[in-house]
This record gives sequence, structure tokens and C-alpha cells, in this order.
Amino acid sequence: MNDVRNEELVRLSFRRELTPEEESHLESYFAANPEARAQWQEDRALGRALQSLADVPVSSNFTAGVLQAVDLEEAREQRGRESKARWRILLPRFGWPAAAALLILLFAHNRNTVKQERVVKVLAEASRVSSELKIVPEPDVVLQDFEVINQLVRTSASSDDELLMALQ
Amino acid sequence: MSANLDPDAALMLQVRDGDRTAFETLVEKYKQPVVNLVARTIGDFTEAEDIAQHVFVQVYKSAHRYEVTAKFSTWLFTIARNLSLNEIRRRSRHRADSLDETFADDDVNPMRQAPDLQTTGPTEHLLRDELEAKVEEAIADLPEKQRTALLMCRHEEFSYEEIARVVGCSLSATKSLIHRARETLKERLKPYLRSGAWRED
Repeated sequence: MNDVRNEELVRLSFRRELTPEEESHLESYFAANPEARAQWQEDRALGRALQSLADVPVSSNFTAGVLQAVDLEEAREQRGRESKARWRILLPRFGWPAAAALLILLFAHNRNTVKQERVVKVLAEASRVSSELKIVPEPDVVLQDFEVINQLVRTSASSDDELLMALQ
Repeated sequence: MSANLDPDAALMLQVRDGDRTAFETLVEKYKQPVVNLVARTIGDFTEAEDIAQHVFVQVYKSAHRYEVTAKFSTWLFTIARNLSLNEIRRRSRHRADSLDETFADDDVNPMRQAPDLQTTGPTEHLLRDELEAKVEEAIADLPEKQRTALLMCRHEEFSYEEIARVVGCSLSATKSLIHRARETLKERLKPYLRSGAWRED
């Protein structure tokens, strides 16, 4: 029990000045334990060294700087709150018209897309037809019986026999 | 509200209710210990003031959440330590100045004070300056938790329980941290401690 008290007093002596009663208690402990005294003196010197550490310089306008920073922070938060409040007012007022406008835009966009798809289809069809036109016979084959066929236009044959006559 | 409420906690409750004067009082009271702790934790006395200001801004911003669960100073120093650790992490990410740099050149050590030639002669003063620089250097080389615990232990008003809360360790671990820190310093400063420079005046 006494050892605990002595240790506690030793620890306390590093942090503050001891009362005369505590000093005398510790003194009687050291009288019986000279090596503990040497150890304590070293510890105490360290305690004093730590206590003597100089304060880090603080500028005279430190507090003013803190208050200014707090003001800036409050102003920023206030702006944030106002912005939220503005949205809270604007949304119910313009929410439905904005949603309707958005729907119209989506509908228009959709129609436009459908139209574009149709144009693409027509172009694809045209391209297919043009590729098929490549199998049309050569012009000399096409014009081979041109004169004969041309005469047919001028005849007024009404039966097959008359037509045959005209061709001959 | 309890009758033995910490007076600073009472002030903080006033701050929570929007009292700027109470806040100013707390800043005035704690600016020096907070700057001291931040400076020695990050090892940069120039930046310490900015971070300390940020600590108080955080205190103000968190005022609406403040609950009296411990002494105000314990809460304040926990914020100061956390912001200091953030700064250390930020610096290590950006590979900024090393901790040693602040202490490397004794000539620019801002810890030095103007000599008090009335009480000490110039030789004693030079010796004391050198010893103080050595102590600062030895403290700066301690692991962060040991350093914070030891620096807080210098202040009589902090109990071991409060120091334990700030460094986030159990009571026995905190006592062990302080013991190890003291042993390291004693070992390192042995020749100076024996010189008698810090004996009773």
C-alpha cells in the first residue's frame, strides 16, 4: 500500500509541486532507498525540462482570425441553406410544367428517331434496287428489235393475224 | 445540469446556443495549449497556427452536436490531435517537409525566446537554449502517441484518463506510453539532465 502511495507521489512530483506533507512522506521513503532518490532526481530534472519548454509563438490576431473564419464558414453554410430553400420553393411551382416539357421533349426526340430509322430503311432499299439494276442486259441486246417494236406503235392491227402481217 | 459541470463545458453549451462571446473566451483560453500541441505533433511551428485556427472553427461548427460527456479540453484536444494527424497524413502523401527539418537548424528554431538577461547571465542562457533545443529534438523524435501523451501529461489539469481518451488508448496503455516516452527522453538527455541545468533554481 505504501509502495503504491510512494509511486503515486513520485509521479505527482513530475507534474506539480508537492505539498510539505507529501514532500516529507517522500523524503522518508528516499532516506530508506537512496538509489530511488537518484532515479527520482533524474526524473524530476526531466519533468522540469519538459515544464520549461517554451510556448510556440501565437500571433496577436489569432482569435480575430478564428472569428473571421467562422463568419466565412457561416456565410457559406447560409448560402447553401438558401440554395436548398430556393429549390424547395421552385420545385413545387415549376415541377409539373418542367416534367411536362421534359415529356414533350422525349416524345419529339422519339419521333425524330423513328423518322430517322425510316429514312435509313428507304436508303437501304434504294441501295438494294440499284444493285439489282446491275443485272439489266447490255444496250445492244436491249435495242436489238427496236425498229420492229417501234413500227408496232404505228400499226392499227386489231388481231393477231394483222400484227403478224405488220411484223413481216 | 450538474452542479460540478466543467466551466469550459458550460461555456461550450452557451456556444451551442449561439453565444459568440463564450466561444471567444474559449479560444482565448485554449489557443496557446492547442498551438503548442499542434506544433509539436506536426513538427512545424509555422503551419501550426493555421491548423489550430481550423481546430477552433471545427469546434464552432460541431457546437450543435456537443454533449457533455467529458471535460471540454479532452474533446478539444481530441479534435486538435485528429486534425494534426490528418495534416501529417496529407504531408506524407505529398512528400512534404520532414519532421526533422523543423528542428534541424537550431538557428531558426522559433521556440527560442528572447534572453532574460536580468535573471540569467549570457553563458547560462546559451546553455539553457541549447538544452531546450535538445529537449525539443528528443520530443520530436518520439512516436506520435508517446509524444502527445507526454505533452499532455505536462499539464497538471489533464488526468491520465483524459489523456487516454485523447490518444485513444486504455488507461494502462497510456501510462505505459508516458513511461516509455520518459525513459527514452531520460536516456537521450542523460548528460544534460545530470548537468544540473534543470535543477531547482
